[in-house]
Amino acid sequence: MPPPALSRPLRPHPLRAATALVTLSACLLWAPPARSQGPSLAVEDTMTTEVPEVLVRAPRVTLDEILDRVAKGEARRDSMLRDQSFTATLRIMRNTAGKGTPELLGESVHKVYKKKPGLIRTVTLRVYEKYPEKDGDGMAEADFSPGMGERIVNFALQPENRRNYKFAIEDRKLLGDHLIYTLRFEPRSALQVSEPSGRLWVDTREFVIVRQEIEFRQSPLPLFLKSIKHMVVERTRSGDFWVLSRMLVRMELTIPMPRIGKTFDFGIAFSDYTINTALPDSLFEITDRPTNASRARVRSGSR
Amino acid sequence: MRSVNRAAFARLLLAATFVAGVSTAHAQAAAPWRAVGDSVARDSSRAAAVGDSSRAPAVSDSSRGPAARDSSSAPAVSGAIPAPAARDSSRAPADSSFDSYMRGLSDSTDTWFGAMATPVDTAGLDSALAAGLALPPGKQQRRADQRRVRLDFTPAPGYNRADGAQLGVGASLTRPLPGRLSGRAMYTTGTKDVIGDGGWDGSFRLGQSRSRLALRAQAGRWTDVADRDSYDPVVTTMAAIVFGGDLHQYLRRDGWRASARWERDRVWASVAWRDQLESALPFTTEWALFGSQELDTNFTAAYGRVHELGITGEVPVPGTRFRVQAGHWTSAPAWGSAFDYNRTLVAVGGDVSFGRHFAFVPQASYGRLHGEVLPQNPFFFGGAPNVRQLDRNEWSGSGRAFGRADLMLVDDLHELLRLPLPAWMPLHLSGFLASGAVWGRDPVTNQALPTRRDWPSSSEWLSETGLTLAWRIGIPEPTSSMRFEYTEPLGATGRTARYTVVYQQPLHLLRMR
Repeated sequence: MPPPALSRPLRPHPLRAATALVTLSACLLWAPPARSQGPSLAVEDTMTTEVPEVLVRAPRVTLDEILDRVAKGEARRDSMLRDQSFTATLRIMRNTAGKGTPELLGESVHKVYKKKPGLIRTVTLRVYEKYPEKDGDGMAEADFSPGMGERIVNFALQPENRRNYKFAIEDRKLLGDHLIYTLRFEPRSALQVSEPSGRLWVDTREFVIVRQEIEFRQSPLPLFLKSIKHMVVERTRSGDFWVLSRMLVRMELTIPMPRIGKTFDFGIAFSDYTINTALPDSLFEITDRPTNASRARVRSGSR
Repeated sequence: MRSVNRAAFARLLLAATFVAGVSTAHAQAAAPWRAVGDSVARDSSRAAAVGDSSRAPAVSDSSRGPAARDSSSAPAVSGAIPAPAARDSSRAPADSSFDSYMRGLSDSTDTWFGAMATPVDTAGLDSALAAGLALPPGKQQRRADQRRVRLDFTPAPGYNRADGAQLGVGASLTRPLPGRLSGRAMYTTGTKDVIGDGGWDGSFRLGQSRSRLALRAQAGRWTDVADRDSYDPVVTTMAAIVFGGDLHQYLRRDGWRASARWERDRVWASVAWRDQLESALPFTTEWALFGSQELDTNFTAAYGRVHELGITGEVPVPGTRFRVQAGHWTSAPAWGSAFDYNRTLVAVGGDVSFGRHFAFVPQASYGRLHGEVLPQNPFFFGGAPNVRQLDRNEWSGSGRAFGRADLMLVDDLHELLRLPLPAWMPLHLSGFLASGAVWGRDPVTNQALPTRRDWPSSSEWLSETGLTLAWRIGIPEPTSSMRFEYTEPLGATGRTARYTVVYQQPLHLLRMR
C-alpha cells in the first residue's frame, strides 16, 4: 500500500480562521462541567519524557538551484546519450472537439536510429493519409534531426531562454523516494502574450523533467489560429534515461479549413527505445542537419 | 475563572502551533530536497496539523513510531521523527507511488485527448522494418530527397510609382545542394525594363555549438528605396496599389552584394559588402485603385558606383529584456567607391512588465551621417517609423534622434470587455509619448545637409502623445499589429492632431536583421 501522496495544500482563509477562533473561544469561556467519563487528571500533572535526538537531513536549496540542477541534468543526459533508436508515430486527427466524430487525417510510423555525432537513419514503416498528395508529400511527413536534446521538453531551461521565463513552485508531492515539484513557468515579458507558459513536473531525485503542460495565453497567429487549447509533453523512463514519450496538442482554427475542419489534434508518440546499444556506423547515412533537437515537420494542405 | 480559561486557550494555541511545527519537521525529514521559500511545503504541513491526514506527507503517518503517536508534547513528537532506515522498512516499494502518480497523469491526458492518445497498431511494423533495413543506408531517404530535387516557382509581383507594375516569377532550388539557389526576374511596366536577381544563401551550424553562420551572395538589378532604415515592401506595395500612399523614394542599384551573419542565442553580428552602381529612377506611374499616387515625383539619386562595407549587430542588455542594435556603413574612394561617407545608427529598446496586464515599451534610436550627404543615404524623418505629426519621410537630415514609450494593456479587449468581436480580431489598447529631431536639414527644402553637430538643438525637437488601438494580426511576428493611432502634437508646433494607420511591431526601432 503506497503511502498517501501530498495533495493540494490547505490555504489559510481569514474567514475560516476567524470562525475557528470564535468557536474555540466560546468553548473555553463556556467551561463545561467535568464529565464523569474517563479518568480525571490533576491540573498540575505535567508529564515529561526524553527522546533521542534526531538529526534532520533535508538540504534546502533555492528554486534557482533546482532549475540549475535540472538544466545541468538535462545537459548531462544529452552528453551521456551515444546512440538511440525508437519508433515514432505521428498522427493528425480532426473533429476532436465539438460536433462531429474524431477522424484520422494522417498517420505515419517511423523507426529512427540516431548516433552521435550527427548520424541518423529513418525507416518509414507505415504511412496513412486520408487525402494523399499527388507529389507524395503527406500531411504527417516526418523529418527527424540527429540531436537527442529534446528541447521541446526543456526549452524554458535552456541557457538562452532561462532568463526569459519566471518560475514558481506550484505544488510538490512526496512519492516514495521521489519528490516531485510542479513548477509554473511563464514569460517574464507581459508583452509576449503568445509565448508559451505552463507547468513542469520535476523529479528532484534525478533533477529531470518528467512531464510538461504548455499553454498559450493568446494565440501566436490570431488571424488563423484561434487557440492552442491543450499541449502535453510526457517523458518515460527507458533504462537509466528519461526519454520523450509523447507530445499531444489540440488546436482550434478561427476559420474552418478544407480537409482540416476547425479543431484538430496533432501528436507524436515515441516508443520501443533502445539507448547506448552501440549501433554500428554502417546503419547510418551521413547528414549535415542541425543537431540541437528532435523535430518533426508537419505540413498541412497542399503546396 | 476567566483567567484560567485564558491560560487554557493560550496552551491550546501553543499546542496547535507546536503540532504544526512537528509536521514541518516530518516534512523536512522526509523530503530529500526542498526549495528555500517552498511555501507549498509549509502549507502542506499546516494541513497535517489540522488533522487532514490526506494532506499529510506520505511518510509521516505510516512510519511514525509509537512514541510519536502517543505523545502530545513537543519533545516527544520531535523524537518520533523516524530514522531513514525505519522509514524505508515500513514503506511500499520506492517507485510504486511515483509510477502510479505518473500513470495517473498520463491517464488523464489519455482521457482528455481521447482517440488521439490510443496506441499505434503495431501489426506489420516488424516486417516493414525488416524490409526497410534490407535497403542500403540512406536509400529510402535518398528516394525522398530525389523527389524534392525540383524547381519551385513563385510569382514575384510588385508595384511602385517608379517602376509601375513589376510582373515576374521567382524560382528556387533547395536540394540536393547545400543551401538554396534562387532567382527572380520581373518586367516593369513603367520603365519597361527587366529587373531581378540571382543568388545563393545557406545557413550552417558551427560545429556542435549553438552558433550558426548564414551566408548570402546575390547579383542583379534592383529597385531599392532610399530609406534603408525602415521599409516594409508588402505594406508599402499595398498602400501604393490601394490608395497611392507610397511615400518612399526609389533608385536603381546594379551590381552584387554579399553578407555573412553569425548568431548565437540572442547575439548576432553581420558583415556585408556591396558593389553597386546607383542611379535615379523616374516617376512613371500614378495609378492607384482609389485615386492616384500621393507623390507625383521621384527623387533624383546621386549617380555613381558605391563600394560599401556594412557592419551590424545586436546584443542584449544583461539582466534586462532590452536589446541594443548598432550598424555602421562606410564607403570610401580608397576602395574604388564614388562616394565618401560614414553612416552610423544605434537603437535600443525593450519592455518592462507591470504585472501580467501592462507592458511598458520604451525605445530610442540615434543616427549620424558623416561625409557626403547624398539623396540616398540620409536619415528620413516623419511618419510610421518615428513622429506621426509629419508625413512619411517628409524631412531628412544628416542626424536623427528619436525616442518613444508605449504603455500597453496586453489583455485582449475582446475578452476583457466581452466585446462581440470574432476571435481573429484581438484588440489591444495603449498610450504613447514620443519625441524626435532631425538636424543637418535645410529648413526650406527639408532635405539633408552636412553638419558638424552631433546632437539637435532644443528647437528641433518634435514631441507628441497619443492613443493606439492595435489589432494584433501576428504576421510575420506574433506581435505585429495593425495600429490605429490618434496623435496629439505637444508644444507650439502649429500642427494638428492626426489619425494614422500603420502596420508594425511594438519595438519597431529595432529593425536591423
